[in-house]
Amino acid sequence: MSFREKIIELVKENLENKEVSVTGESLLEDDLGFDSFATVMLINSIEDEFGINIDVDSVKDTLSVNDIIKKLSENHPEIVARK
Amino acid sequence: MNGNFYERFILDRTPAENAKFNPYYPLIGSGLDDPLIVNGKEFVNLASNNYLGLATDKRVKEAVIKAVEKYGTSLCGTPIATGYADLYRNVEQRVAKYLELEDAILLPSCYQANNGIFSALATKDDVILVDHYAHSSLVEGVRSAGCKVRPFLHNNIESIEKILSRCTDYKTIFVVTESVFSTEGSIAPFKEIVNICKKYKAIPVIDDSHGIGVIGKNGSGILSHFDIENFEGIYLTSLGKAFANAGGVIAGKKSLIDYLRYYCPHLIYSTALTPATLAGIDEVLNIVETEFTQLSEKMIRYRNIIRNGAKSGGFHLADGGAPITSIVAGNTHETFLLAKQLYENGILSTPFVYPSVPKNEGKIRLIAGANLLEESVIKAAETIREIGATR
Ligand SMILES: Cc1ncc(COP(=O)(O)O)c(C=O)c1O
Repeated sequence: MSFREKIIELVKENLENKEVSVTGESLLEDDLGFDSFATVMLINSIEDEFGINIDVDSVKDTLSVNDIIKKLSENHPEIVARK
Repeated sequence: MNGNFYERFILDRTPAENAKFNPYYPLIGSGLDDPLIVNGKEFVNLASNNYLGLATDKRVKEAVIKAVEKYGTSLCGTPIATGYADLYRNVEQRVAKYLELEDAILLPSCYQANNGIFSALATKDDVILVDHYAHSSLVEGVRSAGCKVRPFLHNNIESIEKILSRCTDYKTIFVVTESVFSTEGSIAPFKEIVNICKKYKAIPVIDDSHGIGVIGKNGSGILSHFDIENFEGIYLTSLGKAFANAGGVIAGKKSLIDYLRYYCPHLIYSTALTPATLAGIDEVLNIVETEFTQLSEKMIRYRNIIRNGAKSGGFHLADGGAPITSIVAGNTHETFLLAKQLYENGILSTPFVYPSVPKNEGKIRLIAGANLLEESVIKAAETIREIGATR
């Protein structure tokens, strides 16, 4: 599973409504109904999965799933390559 | 100086302007009687948390009047100082006994209890797991504790267990949830939560504000509802809903409650509950201990009448086992419009919109208190059905 697929999977895992479909373009708040706790849950899951610490402020302005992927790639390049 | 300060606080009035209706701050001109007087007109009240209908009970009112005659309006002191009336201690003890817990303290409100408990007990080496949809007072409370906060998926045991299995480096783990989620009426799987807490040596914390006086033996709430004995956690509740008065309870192990009596600032630096309120709670305890079964039967019957009306009107209802009917109304505008239609037809409801509920999942909550006349409830259910059928 690619890094991108893994993040999409983690987004899905943290959705209350499992019927919503998730793509890279999905907007966190408008399409997926993310609130501040949902964002914290997602960040925590990514931290658990990759064993890293993420500065919550660094993802504050992310709008879409792709934005999250981009931010993580910039700030934690080591996890992108992880198998 | 500070030229921009007040400009930061501009209220967004568009939802009310678009709907030509503001459902908030309705002006109540009577007690919670049937009918209720709102903005000078008669309404069926499906909005209050007066589940058992005791807010205007004659016996409760008389007990309150008697207490005011004896003690006056206030003891003008915090509980640690002159606020600790004998009435206060009596209610603490009676509430603890009713809940079958070792001890209890009483705060001015459950909002205050929820705000204060975590900063009083948690340290930076702890972690707090909290339900995604927990009440604002719990969210504010856990955030103020200064430790790691990990929300879990709503009422989802798997999500809790997954997080717990990762929480190996913390001194104390708290798992915080509500018994009855009041915007939808769902009941948390609290027995399973308690069991999972045992497995991971975590402390369960339950807010039973919409459970006390509503579920369990004699209305004593979630612990008795699920036959949870020797509860090892922390119990919080409001006395302003089914208990028809005001106040917040923190109950649990005696040693912990004794500690809070001296180290919970939200208790010791805030004026004690008034004698009137304490006497009111005391009388409600008398009533639920003997009459809960009858009152509860009525409450459930009314819930079913309202629920059937909404269902046959084609409304989509949120699922729940509590005596709450919750109509899924859509976005903020749609929710306001439905509240307006109900209002125009003499029904007072409680609309919840984002951020109180998820975006586009606005809800209209209907609670029919046991004090309502059956004919009013039947009429309201028929009105709701008609509104639904003609949408
Ligand atoms: C779940 C829950 N907890 C706490 C509170 C606050 O209770 P109180 O009104 O006693 O401050 C409420 C009331 O809205 C509630 O619904």
